[in-house]
Amino acid sequence: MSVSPLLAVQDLTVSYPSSVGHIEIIKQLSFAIAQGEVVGLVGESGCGKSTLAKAVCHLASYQAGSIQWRGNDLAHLNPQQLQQYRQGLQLIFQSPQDALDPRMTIAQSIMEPLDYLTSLNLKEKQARLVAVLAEVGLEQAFAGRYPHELSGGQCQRVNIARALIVKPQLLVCDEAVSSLDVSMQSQIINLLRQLHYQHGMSLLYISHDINSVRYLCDRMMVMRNGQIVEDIATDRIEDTKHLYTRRLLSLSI
Amino acid sequence: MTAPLLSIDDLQIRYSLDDQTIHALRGVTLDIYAGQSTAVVGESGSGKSQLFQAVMGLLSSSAEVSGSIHFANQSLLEGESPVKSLRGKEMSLIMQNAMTALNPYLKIGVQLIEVLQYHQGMSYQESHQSAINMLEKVQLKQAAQCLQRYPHELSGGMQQRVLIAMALLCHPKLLIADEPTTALDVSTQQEIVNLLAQIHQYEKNALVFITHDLSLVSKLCQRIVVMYAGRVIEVGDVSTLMTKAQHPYTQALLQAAFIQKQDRDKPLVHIKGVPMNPMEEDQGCAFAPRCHQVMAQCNQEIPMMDDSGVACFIAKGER
Ligand SMILES: Nc1ncnc2c1ncn2[C@@H]1O[C@H](COP(=O)(O)OP(=O)(O)OP(=O)(O)O)[C@@H](O)[C@H]1O
Ligand SMILES: Nc1ncnc2c1ncn2[C@@H]1O[C@H](COP(=O)(O)OP(=O)(O)OP(=O)(O)O)[C@@H](O)[C@H]1O
Ligand SMILES: [Mg+2]
Ligand SMILES: [Mg+2]
Repeated sequence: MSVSPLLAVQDLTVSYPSSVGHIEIIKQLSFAIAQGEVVGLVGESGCGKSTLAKAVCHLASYQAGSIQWRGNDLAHLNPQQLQQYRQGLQLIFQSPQDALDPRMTIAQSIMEPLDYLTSLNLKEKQARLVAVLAEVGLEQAFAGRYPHELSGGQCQRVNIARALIVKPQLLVCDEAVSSLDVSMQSQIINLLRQLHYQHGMSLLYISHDINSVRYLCDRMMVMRNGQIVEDIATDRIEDTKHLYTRRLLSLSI
Repeated sequence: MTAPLLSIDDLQIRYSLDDQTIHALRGVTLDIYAGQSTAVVGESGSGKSQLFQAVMGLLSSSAEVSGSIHFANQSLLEGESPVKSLRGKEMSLIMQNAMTALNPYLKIGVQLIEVLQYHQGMSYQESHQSAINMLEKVQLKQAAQCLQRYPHELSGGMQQRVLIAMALLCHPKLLIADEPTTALDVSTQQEIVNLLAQIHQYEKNALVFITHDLSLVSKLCQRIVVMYAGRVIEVGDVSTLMTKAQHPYTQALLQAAFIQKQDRDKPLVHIKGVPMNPMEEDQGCAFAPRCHQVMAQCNQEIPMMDDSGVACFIAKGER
């Protein structure tokens, strides 16, 4: 008996209207992520990584193809499955400041997903808030502040906390550590790894930093012009026959 | 000796919340000379963006600022500040967040032309041509078409180039780039850094490059300023500082920077402990609780920056 992957994307096509007609950003793209897998996604600026991330998180519409969560098509989930999908799949957005509601305090922002995704009581919610702030290295004192009062890296950590607080099964990280200093980056990557080991959390880790992808991920997908051009085990990267992957590697030393 | 282009003296920035005070900057003294390129590095939240937003007069009105900032001998914090007429013309800032720095509802062309008409009093025709020239200078393909596009129709790398072009329109004497390469792919990152280096060469402007990516610093800058918890804790020229850092924080930062090629079975090295709470008053060195070499004096007195280029009792004791 075969087990359905956590996430399966089949022949996905996403296009945007533009001043010169519709442009296809994602072109008949397919991939799957199994339960507990840690997968990296790399590629040039503008190749469509964020667009893909938003589509699988149901935040952008797609023109063709299908996305399945635990074997069920997103387009036909029943309310209970939809709830499970929304809790199970979390996205950390690329631009941290834009992703937070400026009128909400940090505590409200981080706890908001708990309100509609879980039935925890206030005490349990607050306990999770305290724990998650500590995990991302933010002082508890930040809880009452607003996004515009935070530095770029502090906002990014609020986003990470917001995604982690619901304990997702698959976390999509879109450049989730790129605006942090190196030490903080290492700390967050260690945290993600620990969540993977201890709770079997899967990751789709989008990054321009190949070194961190090689460190964190078992598998790496290389994207170019809206398509996945290579899907390779990270411990075999050096053997790649692909010219484009070679170039990415040589640039990142 | 010539006077510095930008001179900052004991700059402090505080924000009052109900019953607490946030110390965003705790006293920064820094000179920047014409033609010099300076990297500013430091922990997330250490005050890098706040420092240069203060220079540009862009702090929120709730900020309580003390100390002084002089630009070309004009005081920016006292009396009628000339900062509004200098901003965008004599000094420009490329903001940390490309998406929010561009207005999503206006075409790129409109945003560029506005700056030129306002500061240079150019006609529409002149400014249109000038804008195209500048986009070509930052090596944006199809510059003329680009003027007709909205920000969201451009990729991250293209938006970043537009922002650089916008900052350069009036050939400022001081160009501040706040994390201009964050979240760009490695090749685009290198292109942007090379571009900034070229611009720095022919414009002969003073360049401030705020970054957390130490690997990019030596390609672009002569000097590094290291910040921690709202203070400058070490200053030096790039080659010396990269090899002979004196402050334990700088040493730890450099170590964390070069861990990437490591064994997958071991956790990544990072600086243990938490950054100083910005709501706390500092009594000693802010790094003391995380420092391996901490001495009694470190917890009692605040180490001050002097000509040695480092604010640390341990580093001073060793000399
Ligand atoms: N709302 C939109 N309307 C039109 N075009 C868009 C829109 N959003 C993105 N694009 C275009 O789609 C392409 C892919 O963008 P996307 O943000 O997915 O790239 P990316 O791989 O995440 O790049 P980066 O590494 O710079 O973040 C880009 O050329 C971009 O200009
Ligand atoms: N409007 C504000 N009100 C209150 N505190 C603020 C405000 N703006 C910034 N701060 C605080 O000032 C400190 C310095 O922030 P700053 O943005 O300068 O950090 P940074 O060094 O640029 O960090 P990063 O690398 O994360 O961008 C932070 O602790 C931040 O929370
Ligand atoms: Mg992206
Ligand atoms: Mg900043």
